[in-house]
Amino acid sequence: MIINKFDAQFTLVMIEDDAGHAKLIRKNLERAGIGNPILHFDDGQKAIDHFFNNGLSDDQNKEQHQKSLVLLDLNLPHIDGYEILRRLKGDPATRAIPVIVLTTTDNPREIDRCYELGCNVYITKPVEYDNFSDAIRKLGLMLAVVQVPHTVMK
Amino acid sequence: MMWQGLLRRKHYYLVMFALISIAVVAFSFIVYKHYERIQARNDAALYEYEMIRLSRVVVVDLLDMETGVHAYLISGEPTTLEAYMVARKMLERDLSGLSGLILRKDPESAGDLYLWIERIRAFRKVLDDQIENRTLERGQAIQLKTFEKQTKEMANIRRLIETNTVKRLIKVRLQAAEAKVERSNFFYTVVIGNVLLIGIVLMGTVTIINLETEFQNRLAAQEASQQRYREVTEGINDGLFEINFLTDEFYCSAAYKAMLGYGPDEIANEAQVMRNLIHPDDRADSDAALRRYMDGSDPVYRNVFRMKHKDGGYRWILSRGVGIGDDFSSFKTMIGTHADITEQKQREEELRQLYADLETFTYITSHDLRSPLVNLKGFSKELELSVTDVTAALKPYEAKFKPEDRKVLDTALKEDIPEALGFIAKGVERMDSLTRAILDLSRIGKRVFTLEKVDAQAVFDKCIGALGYDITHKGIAIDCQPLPTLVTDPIALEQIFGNLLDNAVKYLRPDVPGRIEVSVRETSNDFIFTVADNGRGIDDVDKPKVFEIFRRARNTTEVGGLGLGMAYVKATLRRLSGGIWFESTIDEGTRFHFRLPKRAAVTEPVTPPADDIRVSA
Repeated sequence: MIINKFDAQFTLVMIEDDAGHAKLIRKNLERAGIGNPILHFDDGQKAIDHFFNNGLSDDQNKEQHQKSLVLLDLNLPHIDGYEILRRLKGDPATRAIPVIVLTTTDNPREIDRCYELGCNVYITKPVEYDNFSDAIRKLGLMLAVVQVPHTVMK
Repeated sequence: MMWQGLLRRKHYYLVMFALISIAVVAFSFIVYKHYERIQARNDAALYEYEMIRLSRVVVVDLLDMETGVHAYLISGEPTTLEAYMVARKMLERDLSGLSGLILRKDPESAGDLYLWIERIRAFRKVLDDQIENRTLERGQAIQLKTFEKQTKEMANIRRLIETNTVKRLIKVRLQAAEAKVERSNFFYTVVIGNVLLIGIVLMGTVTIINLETEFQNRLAAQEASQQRYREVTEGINDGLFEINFLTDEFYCSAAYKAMLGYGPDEIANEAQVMRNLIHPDDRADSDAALRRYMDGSDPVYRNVFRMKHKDGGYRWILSRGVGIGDDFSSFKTMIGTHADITEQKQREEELRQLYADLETFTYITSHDLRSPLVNLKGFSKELELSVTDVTAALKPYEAKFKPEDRKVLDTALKEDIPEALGFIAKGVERMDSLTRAILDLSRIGKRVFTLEKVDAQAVFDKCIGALGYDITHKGIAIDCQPLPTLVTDPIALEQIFGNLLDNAVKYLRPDVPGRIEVSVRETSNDFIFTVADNGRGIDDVDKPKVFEIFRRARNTTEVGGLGLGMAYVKATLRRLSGGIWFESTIDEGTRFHFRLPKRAAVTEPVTPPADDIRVSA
């Protein structure tokens, strides 16, 4: 299948502590035709720093946030995915950033908890690689048509 | 019990005393009546005697008068009339005495008296006439005539008086005879009265002695039961308390105080003192629990709180009690026990800790263990893709390789690497299903069952439908009794039937036509379902492992499976208050029986540890 490169100007912020998973996600997104820049954090603290303690001005931040989409794993060292989700969705400046939780857990309780915290999509990483690739490919297809909000509500 | 006995005893005594009093009064009355009668008879006898005496005196007076007159008649001396005059006066006096007595005592016989007086007067007249005749010296003939008259009158009077006297004597004799009879009657009365009195007193005494003995026995029984009660309360090491809400009186046993490290006299017997020992955090709740019981919203009083021990630490106390009062809304006192459940609480805490560990463990299996699997699986696949790429890229240059290099390349790319990748993939798959299985099993405990009316037949048919291909393909005969309707969780029942049927179908002997029989038996509270097959059976050595997770019998190696189904079924049935067991003979078949309540009562899913685990009724 030939898919046009999706060049909308937003950055995929991937927060994933497992380098292998990160590589596989990246590979499969590329295969799905997603060519957006990918910013990878392997640590919750680094991700928090990126969003909240980056030394940028409010306007620069606004600009940055408007062009972000978060791919979030839950099980992270130092600060876990729930905390990051809570911070992102709890702050008016970052609330509009779409957050896709991508994790190995398929426990209904955790899924519910993520949606309660305001995650936009929850995707389980299947162990079976064909299913995994399929999931990421579908995510890529979705990203190809997704529109990120251009006005961040204050 | 004791005061009721006392009351009854008191009644007996009162009745006894009343009876004795009445008997004594009646007896006295009878005796008095007797006495009165005797007295009256006595009086009458005295009267008769007096009458006889007086009439004699009158006769003597009359004789004296006669004698005086005779003396005068003979001598003619007026001095001789002196004796006559004296006798005449005496007669007057005695007659008035006589008439007075008669009028006083016996007015009815006054008629006789007047007759006498009349006769006496007539006699006196004759005497006076004689004196006059003599004095006047009348003729002999007149004097003789008067003398005759005098003699006649005297005889008349004496006859009258004698008759009367005899009458009276007869009366006295008769009365004496009557008195004799009466005396013996009186004697019998006294004897009978005494016998009756003694009888009553004896009966009363015996009754009282009996009651007294009974009372003593009851007291002894009460003492024994109190002793038993004391021994039990002391024996079970529970503290006893009694509180009076009206007077604020409070009692607590030695064990109650010992539980908190105090000796019997080391701490005051006051409700407020004890209340102050309750942990500050628990006071409000414990008061609330008591209030709920007092106002009737809780049917039983059961309270758990911490109390300060003498050593400064706190002990968990389970307090139970019953209110005593006219009705539920007006308890006056409460009596109850305190039990030290600190150890139990510690065990609960340990259990909670264990549960938390289990939670962590299942989380690790579900996420952390699976994470590396994603990599293993993903990169082996990537490797495979790379090998395909390499193979394709090498294709144009194949001819240029040396034969030995080509062979090495071929072996590596077409045999060894795919084989290695195949093993990795299989291992990962197995690992994945194992972690998934552990997860599923751990989730049974957390699943919330929904109880509803379930038609077991429909559920069974659905399970048979799911196995339809195997059943027709292997030519298995299914024989099913009509199944009942019961209240349970439909999904759980489907899983139970599904697993049992699946096993029955899976482990049939390949060389024997399969046959599965399903039957049901009803007991008072449960249905017992039986799923029997004629399959390969379970070896005795494998039997203990049937319900263990990941264990499989050794005669099943060629059939795929994780060894999870029966562990799952057993855990599910436990949650539904049911049970499962089986009989099996190798190479003959297996009969699985499972029991489900007609109305399931689900044990609560294990809830995450809560800090406040106060038990309040």
